[in-house]
Amino acid sequence: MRRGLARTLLGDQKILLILFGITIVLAVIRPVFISPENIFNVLFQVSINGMIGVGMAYLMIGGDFDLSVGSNMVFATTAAILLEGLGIAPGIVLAVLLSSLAGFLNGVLVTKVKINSFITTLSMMIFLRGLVLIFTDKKTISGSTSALFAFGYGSLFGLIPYPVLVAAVVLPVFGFVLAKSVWGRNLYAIGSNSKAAQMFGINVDSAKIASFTLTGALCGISGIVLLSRLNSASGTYGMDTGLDVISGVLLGGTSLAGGEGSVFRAFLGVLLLGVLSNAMIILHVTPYLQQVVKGLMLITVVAVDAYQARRAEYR
Amino acid sequence: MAFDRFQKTLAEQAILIILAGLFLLCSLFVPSFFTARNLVNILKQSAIIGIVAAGLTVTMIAGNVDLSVGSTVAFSGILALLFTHTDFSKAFISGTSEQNAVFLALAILLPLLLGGAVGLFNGMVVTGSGANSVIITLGALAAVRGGALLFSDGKVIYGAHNPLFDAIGQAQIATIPIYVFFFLVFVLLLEALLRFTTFGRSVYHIGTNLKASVIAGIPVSRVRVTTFVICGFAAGVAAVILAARLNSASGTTANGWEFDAVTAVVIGGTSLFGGKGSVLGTLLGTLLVTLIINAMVLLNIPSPWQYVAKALIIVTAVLIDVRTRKEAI
Amino acid sequence: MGADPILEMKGIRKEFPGTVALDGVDFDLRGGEVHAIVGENGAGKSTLMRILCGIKTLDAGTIHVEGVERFIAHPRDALALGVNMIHQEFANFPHLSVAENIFVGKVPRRRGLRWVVDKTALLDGAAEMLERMRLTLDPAARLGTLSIAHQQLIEVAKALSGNLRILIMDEATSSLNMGETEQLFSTIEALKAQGIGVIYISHRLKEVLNIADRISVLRDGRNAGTFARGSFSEEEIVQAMLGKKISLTEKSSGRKGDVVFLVENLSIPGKVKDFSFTLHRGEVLGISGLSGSGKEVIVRSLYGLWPCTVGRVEIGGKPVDIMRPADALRQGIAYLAEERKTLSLFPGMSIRENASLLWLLSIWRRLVISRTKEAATVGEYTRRLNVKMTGIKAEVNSLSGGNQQKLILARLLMVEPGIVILNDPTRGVDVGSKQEIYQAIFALARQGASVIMTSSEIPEVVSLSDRVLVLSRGILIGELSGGDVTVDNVLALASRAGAVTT
Repeated sequence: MRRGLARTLLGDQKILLILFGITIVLAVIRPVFISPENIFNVLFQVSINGMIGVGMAYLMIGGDFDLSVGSNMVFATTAAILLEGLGIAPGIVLAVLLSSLAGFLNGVLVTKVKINSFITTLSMMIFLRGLVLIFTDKKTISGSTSALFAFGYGSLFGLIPYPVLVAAVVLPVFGFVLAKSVWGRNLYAIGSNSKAAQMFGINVDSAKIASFTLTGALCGISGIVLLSRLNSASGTYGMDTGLDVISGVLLGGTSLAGGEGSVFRAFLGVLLLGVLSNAMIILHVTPYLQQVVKGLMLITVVAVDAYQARRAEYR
Repeated sequence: MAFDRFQKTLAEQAILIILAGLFLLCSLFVPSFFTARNLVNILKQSAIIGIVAAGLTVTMIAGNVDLSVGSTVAFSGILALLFTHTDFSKAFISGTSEQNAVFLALAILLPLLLGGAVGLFNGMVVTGSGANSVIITLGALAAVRGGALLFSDGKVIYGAHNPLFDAIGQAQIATIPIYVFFFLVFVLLLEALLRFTTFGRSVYHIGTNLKASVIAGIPVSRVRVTTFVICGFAAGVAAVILAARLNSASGTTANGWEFDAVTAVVIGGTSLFGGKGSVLGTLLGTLLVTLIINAMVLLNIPSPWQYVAKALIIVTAVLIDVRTRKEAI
Repeated sequence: MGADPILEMKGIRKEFPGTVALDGVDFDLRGGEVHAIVGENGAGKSTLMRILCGIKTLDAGTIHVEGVERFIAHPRDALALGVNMIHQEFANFPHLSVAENIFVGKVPRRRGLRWVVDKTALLDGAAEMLERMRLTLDPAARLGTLSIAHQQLIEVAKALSGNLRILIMDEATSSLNMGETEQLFSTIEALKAQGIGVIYISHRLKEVLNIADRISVLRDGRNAGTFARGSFSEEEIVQAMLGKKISLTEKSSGRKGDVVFLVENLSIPGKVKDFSFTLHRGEVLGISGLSGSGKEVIVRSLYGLWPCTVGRVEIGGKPVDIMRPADALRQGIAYLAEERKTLSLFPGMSIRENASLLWLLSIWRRLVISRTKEAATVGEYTRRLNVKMTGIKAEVNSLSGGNQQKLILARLLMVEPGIVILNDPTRGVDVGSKQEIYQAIFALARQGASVIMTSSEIPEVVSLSDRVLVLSRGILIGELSGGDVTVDNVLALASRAGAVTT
């Protein structure tokens, strides 16, 4: 574990402690919290946000971010439904490819055309949502076969739900890639000092485009996982995903300034956020208040992150 | 009065030309476009969001952005209509009810105050922490809208008919609503603020070079926070007019307005990086965007395509902005 | 030491809008030698090196590396040729480990899995490099946790890890203490033994004389002499650096008024300890020293731009508190920053807007700007300082560097400050404008304002100041006044090793 200059919002141990604390308290006041059904709900949400969070971690470490993830995910769900005619598997593969393409486009616009992450991913977000609305004709569409239900509701050994299993594979794999691969180390370098990185021969553009494309692909996979449970798509899904994922990743200690963080930390942050959201639902907090809390939490997390980044500059 | 910013004058002329050109095209080829009624419609649709965009311009010239404006309009609108009733429970049913002069005054004041307060909050957090205003105001967007929904319990609020709001919303001069003129006055006021006051000049300095502005003794924090307050206040003003016009408000009002406003501002020549732009340019930008959407509606292009069009417009505007930046350096 | 040069730069010419940075400069380097380049700021040393490193491209001239003509268009090209530079502004990665910094861009990869980093090879390779440089550091440590000195040495290790043929050291010892400098020098000796050529740039003449086999002097973008070890005196070097300078007779001969500015025990942790001075009316006070002496941070903290602790601060006899620039301005203190482009100018805005900034704020009660008054005042002061421009509405980037600097000076003078602090007032300014700025400074003092100045060019401080305070490593070593204000005396004091501040 790296210490020294690490400016984690909450240290890894602190997050685990908080999680532990919340779980115990909730288990006591509302036992429904630890019911298998609820645990699955939490894990499901965390799996989806966690996978997207992996991509977001790659991006933030390199100094970017992506606001279009929610729209991209729903786009994949929609595409998979509409392409069912080609067969389940081809439909899914194509949907994920399309999401990856969207991510790739983000990357190209940010690196080659030099539009910043904000506007590029904002425009992509609006664009993709528009496409979803067009293709769903502003309604909610459903998949015709329930072949995916077996996946969505089934589990390995009757214990580990398949959707969670997907995340359980994706996260460690890409965590490993980020920590050990040349691409991963390059991203840390780029986030730390992108001008110098370029000077020393690191291909900044390729690394960033790859990160954006990965994020797109992960959105696609998440979209399919979502499909396997809901078997429907609509223009109103996934509105909060972008906010939730960014909040989660930041909470876990990956900074917007770049250069530090990890998939593990991102996962912890997303997990904490997921548990907090679930806690609010269990405690019957109205969805409106939940939205207020989420918004305020994002503000707090970002503000503290920025403030700490500023302090570090006055060495 | 001669104006010194070269790039800006060039950009303004370009928009003017594009606007005129598109106007001509639409008049010739789009059915029912060049009718008095439709043209007034365009003005009507531009005016309210134009007020929001005008306020946002000041914030963006200083180098920040405020994405919570749509949510602020929603919350403020609810407040406005709520206070047209003395008995709040009547607000959920359409109809008339008793009024009270004090309450009516509050119906105008409170939305403005709320807008300013949201702006103040955003400004202080962004300035105090140094965080990216995009994400901070994104969080505010969620929080304020959530607050609006919470406050109204997710229901629609209806206003009680009263002469004041009727005047604001419905009064006309030569078939053009008064609020369109108000919009023009508002734009001119803000433009004057930017051009003729020390504060306005400071906004440009801060957006151009923050470090140099600090060294020159400009009260950077104070100015930045003020730009956010102006933006929030403008959202409050727009909310009152919208509420008066529709006589209904809810937590989902003005959904997506923030992106429309940013689009209008950027097209109007304000740079995303700060330091350049004008409220007059935003006026043109608003007209342009509204014109395009209006044409699409008349051509029966379904609304989802409008989303796509909007995204393309904003990307084009940004591309132009980035290009002109490169040439300047 | 090979006889044939491994590097030959001939007739290098580089122009920037408004100035000629290099006007046909020649430079060559032999393998295994240390060839130093000295010269004042603006002489062209940095530009020449940036061209060699591929950060800038030349307008005319040729570069031959080991006998073959090369075109260096990008830092990658330079690196490929074995040219490495240790920068002043850090080109390192504080978030990465020491090992990752050393091997950035060329991390060892796992055999078989080419996309995975070979961590053991990375750490072992780094440990080897560190040993070669006799550094006892943990290769896995985060670079940001190390001292500046160590970070710099790691940059040398980074250069070493590639096919190093030519190493450029630009002010490499600016943040090093005695021991660390020794370490660096022995590393350089080791590099020489391997046939590597070292280009050494520094303001510290004593060091240069110590380590260099040859010294080339640049002045105003041209060669001003190359000297081989043993064949010259320090005076000759200084003379070559200065050329003909303005006469000293213009100085207002010590007509000192009462004390306008008093500072006691100003300290900045790690940089300055207990600095005190008094400033008199009508006086030009110079603060001088070598790089790292603390003169720049002192000047910044006087204006409220750098946190410091201070015992007493009085202006005109009254105690004041200066926490930020606005406070200083309120006390009548104006400040000229050292980097025009990033700290003083507002690109994209007009000359008028750039000039009237302070003036507008000082009459802040008038919220509304009177355009006619603004134009008149700006016109008056730009004329006074002879700013050559097409009109006050022109964009500020249309001015040459020298005219831009005069414009900034006009900005300061417009608020009629009682105290003016100048931080490197003629950096990047052409000779003609330099003289005009000097005249303006003298005029200021004559009219009763007081000036504090610092500059990286010691001769400039000497030419302008009535009194000079000399610092070394954060401690005030001595004060010179009247006829004692000479370059030699300043250098003598500045090179005295002050205590290392804690």
